[in-house]
Amino acid sequence: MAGTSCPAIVENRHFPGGKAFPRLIYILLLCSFSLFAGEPSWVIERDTTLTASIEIREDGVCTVKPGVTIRFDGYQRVTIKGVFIAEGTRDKPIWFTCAGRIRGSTDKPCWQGFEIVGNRANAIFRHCRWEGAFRNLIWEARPVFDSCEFVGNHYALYCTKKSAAHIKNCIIYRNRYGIVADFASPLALDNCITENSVGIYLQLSSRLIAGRNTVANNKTDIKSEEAMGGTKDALSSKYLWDLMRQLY
Amino acid sequence: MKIWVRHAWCVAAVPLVMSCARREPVTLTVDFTTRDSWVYEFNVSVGGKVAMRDSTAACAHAIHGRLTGIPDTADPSALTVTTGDVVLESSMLDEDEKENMRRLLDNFTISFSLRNGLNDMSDSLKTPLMPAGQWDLYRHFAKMLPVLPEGRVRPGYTWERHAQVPLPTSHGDAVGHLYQSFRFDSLTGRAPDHGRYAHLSWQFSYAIETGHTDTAGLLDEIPHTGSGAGSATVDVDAKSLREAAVEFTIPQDSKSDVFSIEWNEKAWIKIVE
Repeated sequence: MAGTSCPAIVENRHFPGGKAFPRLIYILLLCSFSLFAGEPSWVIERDTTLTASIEIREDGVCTVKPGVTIRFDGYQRVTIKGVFIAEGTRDKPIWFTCAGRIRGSTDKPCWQGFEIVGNRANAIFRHCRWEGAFRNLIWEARPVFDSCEFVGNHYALYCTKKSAAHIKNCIIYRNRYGIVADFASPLALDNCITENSVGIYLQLSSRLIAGRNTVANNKTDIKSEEAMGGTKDALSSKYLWDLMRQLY
Repeated sequence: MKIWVRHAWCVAAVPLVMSCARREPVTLTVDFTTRDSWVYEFNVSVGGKVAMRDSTAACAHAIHGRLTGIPDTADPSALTVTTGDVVLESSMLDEDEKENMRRLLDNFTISFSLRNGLNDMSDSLKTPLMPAGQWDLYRHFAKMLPVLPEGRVRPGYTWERHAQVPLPTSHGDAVGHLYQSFRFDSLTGRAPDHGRYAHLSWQFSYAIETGHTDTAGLLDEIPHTGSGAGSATVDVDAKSLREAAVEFTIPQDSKSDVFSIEWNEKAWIKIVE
């Protein structure tokens, strides 16, 4: 799984940004959890600043056009329970970040991230870039991340509750955690996971179905917690405590 | 001198008599529509330890903040509160995780009814409760807030309630069963029909029913039951909830050969005038 053949990371390699990036922004004053009531389809064609969290309901469809930047103004999140399609191209990638964040920054998270929730969620991301999110959560879902970049997030991808995300050809760098699998089995292929504090974190009963990934130059490349283990990687008290917190 | 002493005794005895326990039946009702908004101070702390083979880790979280509530005209006993001014302490989370929780809890909305219990748990369930220590105030509030009985009741009256709490966890879905046994302990007040306080208490248990999705079996290994006690004061004449408090404990459990867990939870709210 591990290797050292990640491509050189150049911040302006594919993704436009900084002052040269078009500044066409319109503010959406959206109320959380009511976005798609009676309006099941939404196409984002231009750069957008979101000042409220949004939810794509189970009957909702949201499409983001290539080249669009979505900025989050405030500690917002996108919850996906329906369909979300963000297919950029190599020349016109899609960018998710927060307002005012410098490209490539490793400052504290400034928005909550995506939450792809439930087995009815269907999300496809191609040539997308995430920056500054606390956690991009995949809960029971099977989204596809193809040729995406994750930089400066706390949890770049947090897969849990038997989610089986497909992560391929992605570059995941300078995050606190790269890919976390917590009771999940994401499929990871041809990814470069580098310069993170922890590259891959496999928690209890998780495994990475993987091949030809490059996991190198992280502070800890792979960390795992095994059930009832007796080594330093054993099931941690923090993990047990957090599970208690989910119940009580 | 004797006359003065007798007079003093009489003066002192009047409020004592008026504030002693009362026995008349009253309606235990809360009407939040009597004000435009309500403010409560709240505190939740959870401590305990996880023992694994030859090591024991102490765990502690505490949150303190303010609740600003807006009444629901359709249900006068219901209040929708939003958290604010949250102070969070945790021995288990790193700074980014604490900051994440703090920001999430600084504007978190809960709706509860003292007639029907927690109204709407969708706020809680819309975001899965993650093992990053996400703080679910719903479960603390479900344990801490009483459900008031119908009709007129006297001190000594008892009633019960069973509530189910859906628990979506990373290891599969579970259900929490909350059984509360309430008692109207006493009625006090300084003057008839003004400032009478009903003092309630309750014992409760909270049990986890696990599903069958946890192939790792971890949910079966952790403790499944805890118990506790709560108390609350209702201003009968002003129809307001003055304060409520609860303590909940899971004694050190050794269902697993590898680990045991102890859990102690305390929570309270108090009205801010």
